[in-house]
Amino acid sequence: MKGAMKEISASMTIWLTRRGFLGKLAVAGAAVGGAWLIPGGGISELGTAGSREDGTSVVSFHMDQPYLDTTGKAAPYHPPVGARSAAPVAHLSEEAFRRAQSYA
Amino acid sequence: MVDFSNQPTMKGFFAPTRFEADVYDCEVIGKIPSELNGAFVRLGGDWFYPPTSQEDSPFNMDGYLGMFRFKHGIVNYKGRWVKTPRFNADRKAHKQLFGVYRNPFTDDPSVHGLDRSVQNTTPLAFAGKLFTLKEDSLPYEIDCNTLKTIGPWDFHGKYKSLTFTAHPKVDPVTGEMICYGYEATGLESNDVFLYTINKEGVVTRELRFKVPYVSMVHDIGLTQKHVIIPVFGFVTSMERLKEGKVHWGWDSTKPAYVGVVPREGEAKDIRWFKGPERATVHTLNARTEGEKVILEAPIFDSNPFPFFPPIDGSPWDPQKARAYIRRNTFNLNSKDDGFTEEKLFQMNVSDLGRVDDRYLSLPYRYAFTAYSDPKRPFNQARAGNLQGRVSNCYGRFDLATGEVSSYFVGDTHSLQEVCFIPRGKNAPEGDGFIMGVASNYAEMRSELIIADTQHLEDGDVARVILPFRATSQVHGRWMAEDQLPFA
Repeated sequence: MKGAMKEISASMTIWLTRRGFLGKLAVAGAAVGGAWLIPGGGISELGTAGSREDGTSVVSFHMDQPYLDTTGKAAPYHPPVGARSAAPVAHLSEEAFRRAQSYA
Repeated sequence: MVDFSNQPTMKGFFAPTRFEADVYDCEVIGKIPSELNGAFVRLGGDWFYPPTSQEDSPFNMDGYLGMFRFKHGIVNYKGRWVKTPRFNADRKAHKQLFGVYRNPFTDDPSVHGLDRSVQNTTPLAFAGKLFTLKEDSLPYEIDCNTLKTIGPWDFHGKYKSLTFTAHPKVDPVTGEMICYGYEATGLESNDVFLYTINKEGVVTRELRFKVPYVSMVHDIGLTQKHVIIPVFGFVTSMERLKEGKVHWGWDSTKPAYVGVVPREGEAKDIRWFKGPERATVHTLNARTEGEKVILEAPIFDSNPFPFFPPIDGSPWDPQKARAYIRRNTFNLNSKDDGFTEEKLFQMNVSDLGRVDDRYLSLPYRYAFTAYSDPKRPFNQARAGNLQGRVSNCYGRFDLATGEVSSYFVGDTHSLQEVCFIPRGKNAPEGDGFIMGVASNYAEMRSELIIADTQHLEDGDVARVILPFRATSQVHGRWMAEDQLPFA
């Protein structure tokens, strides 16, 4: 691990721009993190990210999970299949749900 | 250290937001109707610090005020906490010092005697001032441009009740406000003080009376001649509070009482009618027709709130926690204390209903409220599965014909309380726009919906997009440009 970090650092100083470095970081993240980087567990988006040569990658966090934004546009978060932000409470009983959200 | 990780219901879209916000020139999908100049102000709550008990009520959340300011087709958004003494004390201590809902016996001793209100229920524009309302305390005055909290307001010392309703009624004919406080002289008191305040904000009349038992009197009905006072099911006692419980429990053995008092009457003039177990938390409208006083409201069969549990230990029944639009008729010539009840629509609805406020206390035709239509699509893949459990439509209910016209918000959304805005001062009843905040579970953001009441089936005419989740709302009100000293 220590060696890998040194290699990236050296690459950055010698021939990579900041954009390029972040792109490489995204590729490294794809190799290490795999499917869990994408909410919902999908890997197709990550595969696309790994093959991109031209954009900046930005790692952000959404619903407690890291998310890889490969657009380089700092665009608002638009998850591939939706945020599913109601999902964490959907398993609750009607009583438990209404205890917290009486007017949802 | 603030830690919400052990709060099972505060996840995903429903996680605490905790921040204040300014969004200038909000993104708008569609076109803002040129008639809309003023502000949509919404009040609700969020936990700034976690509650001290899992048994606590969401009605104990810190108050949060949001304002969508409309001016010449442009919308700016501002969100601010209502900075009550309680909020400020918690911030200073970096933790929740206050115990469960309306129970000071559960508070940290360091805040004994401090105003423990959270100001999270209804915004009000009256006599040129903006207020937040919570039924356990006085109104709080707010600067309508900065949303800065100014402090409690007692109408020049003439309002004597310790509490002030979240549902005052403004008479569209006279401009007077009819308002009241229950538990008016303190915890567990059965005193109600009923007030008339003129449009300049001066108290002109006070009536003091007692209710049959200490209970939540959340809303009233107003006619041109009478005030209607529903009392139902929720009970409290000093013993209950000293045991550390939330303020209210539900007693299914308690009958629902409805008091009818002439607007110019005295305590001796109140007539109490009695009916079976019901919960009339919110009303739609009321009127007097000869010797009959008529109240229409979304009424529950029983306890709507699981966080105010049955006192006999029985489980809360979600099947009975459904509201239907009903008509109660009180015959002032009758010899007994009964009244009639009709179910006007067979579909259950949100009890946060509204009418065209120009017709409050008068004969009217249209009511508006949200409801859940389980036949409409819900995109589980993008939103998570809450199908059938959240409101996805606004309805315009025609009380003359029984027809319902419907607005559907979309397959990844739910809707909070609706608000009606007339197209103009002289527009016919119900002609105008409905407005309300939608939760977008796919995009993790809130959207203010604007739809034309003449074309509800066609969808909204505009959506104001917030790039984040707004705090949950209880009530929202449209405040026209001439109601407040807007900058």
